[in-house]
Amino acid sequence: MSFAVPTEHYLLLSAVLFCIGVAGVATKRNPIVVFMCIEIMLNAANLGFVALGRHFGDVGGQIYTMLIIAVAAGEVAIGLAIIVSLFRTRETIDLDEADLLKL
Amino acid sequence: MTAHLGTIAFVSLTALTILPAIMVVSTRNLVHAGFWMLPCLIGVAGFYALLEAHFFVVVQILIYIGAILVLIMFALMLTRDVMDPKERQTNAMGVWAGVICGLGLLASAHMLFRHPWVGVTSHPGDAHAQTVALGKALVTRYALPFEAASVLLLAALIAAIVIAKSMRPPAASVGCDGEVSGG
Amino acid sequence: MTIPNISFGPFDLVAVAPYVALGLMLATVLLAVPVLTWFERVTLGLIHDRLGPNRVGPRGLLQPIADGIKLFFKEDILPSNVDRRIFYLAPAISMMPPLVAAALIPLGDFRVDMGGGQTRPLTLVAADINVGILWVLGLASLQVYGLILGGWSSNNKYSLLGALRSSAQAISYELALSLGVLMAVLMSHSMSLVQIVQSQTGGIMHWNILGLFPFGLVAAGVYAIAAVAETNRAPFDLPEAESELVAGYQTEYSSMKFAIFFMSEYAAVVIGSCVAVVLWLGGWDPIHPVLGFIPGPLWFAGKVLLLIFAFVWVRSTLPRFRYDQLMRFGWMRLLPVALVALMLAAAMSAYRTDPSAGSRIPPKPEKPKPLMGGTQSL
Repeated sequence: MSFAVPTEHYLLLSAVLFCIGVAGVATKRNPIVVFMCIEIMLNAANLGFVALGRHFGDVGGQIYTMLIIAVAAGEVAIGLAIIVSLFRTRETIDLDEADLLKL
Repeated sequence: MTAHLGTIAFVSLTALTILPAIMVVSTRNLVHAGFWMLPCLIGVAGFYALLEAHFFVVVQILIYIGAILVLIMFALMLTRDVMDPKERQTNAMGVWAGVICGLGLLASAHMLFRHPWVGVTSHPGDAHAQTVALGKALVTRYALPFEAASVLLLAALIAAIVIAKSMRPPAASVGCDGEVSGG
Repeated sequence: MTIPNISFGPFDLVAVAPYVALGLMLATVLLAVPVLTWFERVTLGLIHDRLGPNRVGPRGLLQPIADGIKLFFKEDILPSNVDRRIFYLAPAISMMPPLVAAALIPLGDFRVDMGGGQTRPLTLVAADINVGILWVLGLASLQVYGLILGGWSSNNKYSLLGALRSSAQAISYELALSLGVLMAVLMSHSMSLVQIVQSQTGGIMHWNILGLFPFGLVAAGVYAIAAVAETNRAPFDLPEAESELVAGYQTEYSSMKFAIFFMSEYAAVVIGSCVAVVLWLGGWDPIHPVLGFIPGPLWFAGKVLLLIFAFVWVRSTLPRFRYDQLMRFGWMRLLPVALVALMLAAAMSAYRTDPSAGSRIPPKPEKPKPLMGGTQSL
């Protein structure tokens, strides 16, 4: 059973998703929304990796997807801890105001 | 027939993924943005199913939807009154971000369709064999990246604990703490 | 157990079996609410030395029907300032995961007489997926969205606190739940629910709960505690703690929307018990092979009922945790115990395994294998 959707369609979709994520990361002021946009970007990359892995019949694409998911899990844990501690010390989480590189 | 089915599934999954992603970026209500992530991530899980990577369908649901997004929602609800939805949600980079993203998208689309993709697609074995191959590859050829990922997760775990611990003193002495200003 | 191959029009029993299994499980999950509310109240009455429901019908048996009619005809209140779409969506989302998980539960194993002295193995299951147990875990983690969405959209501080509590609780106890499940996978050498049950064939001594003694017991205990926490039942019912949060995430819900939240909780209890039976109590396997004349699905139902009784028993006996106690217990007691037990169990399993036997070694080489062979559909 093979659903013959060409690989380049997946890659184009992945690029579109990635660009939506980039636009969100570049413009949003709330760090949690920025996180969600980063997750969208990572998902786009995962999709590209899995599609290419199938294209070349190589398991490596899926391996990298797995590693990216691990990275995403670590990133979200750290990131949210930083956001919460930022909020506790400065009473704001606005990224435009959190530009001192220290808490 | 299967090609038709695949195309229909692809198109509907694209709608399920791209539209919520646009909503995440464009909505003013932060918690709504979190809720829109849900169909977006489910859509990506659907694409994995279409790509016959069945293991990643489960992993996507278990880790992205079941853990990461729940954590994000938790943080959103904890800080929901901090940023008023009526306020400006974006910074001054809107135009530039749009231009750069558009150009990047055009460039990657150009690269994509210049490359001869047609006729290379190979068909791996059944889903079970694929999952077994993935597991074997993780502990043989890709053992080093796998270990690196586990070290990274351990580091993230310790770092999260350290950050959470360092919050204790200011939280305890919040009454006599004069220099903590509102930024 | 060998049964004749009954034909249903153009389809034979083998073709119909998945739909039969799905229908049985869906009916069980959906009918669980009336039966279990009655069962729970009677059991609570027994434990508390009270009468329990005894007004409507014989022994109060019609009480759930009266309750259902009452809920159905109550006014469906839509509070002002709720986020309407999400408010309506939340109960439906909370009902979805247990209904999907119902398709994964295997109910029994038969041999079908194909005629001419030939028999074929047949497993009564709707979908035997090779990573089925991961699907169950994934669906269990989706359950919390109904609570989060409902609690947030109600625009009520009690509801929001309930939602916050449920999300933190779900994430904390999911880890312990996964580790407990992982130990069952370690013992059964498979992630398919059907193969997990088949690896435990041969009576109570072969069940995972007594496997790799004592780690099977530890793992089953960890799973049981985490499952109670994941289903938000007492003593882990902090998201709806009525003495602190009115009714938590469901404060603003009324009529059928409230009833659907109620149903989803009981459905989750049923699914959690079914998975526990599959993982630890040998599924449809009789307690001793001598009792094999009783059909497997009956054994399965009996074990599930026993576990549901345990749910009610725990609820009636233990007081509710405080929030900090809940977090401390989850992260500092349950999780370390589960991690250490998993490591020791893995070491024990590796020590017992004969390395010359290849990569897929049956966990208990001495057991009889009358029912193996039904695993062709991975």
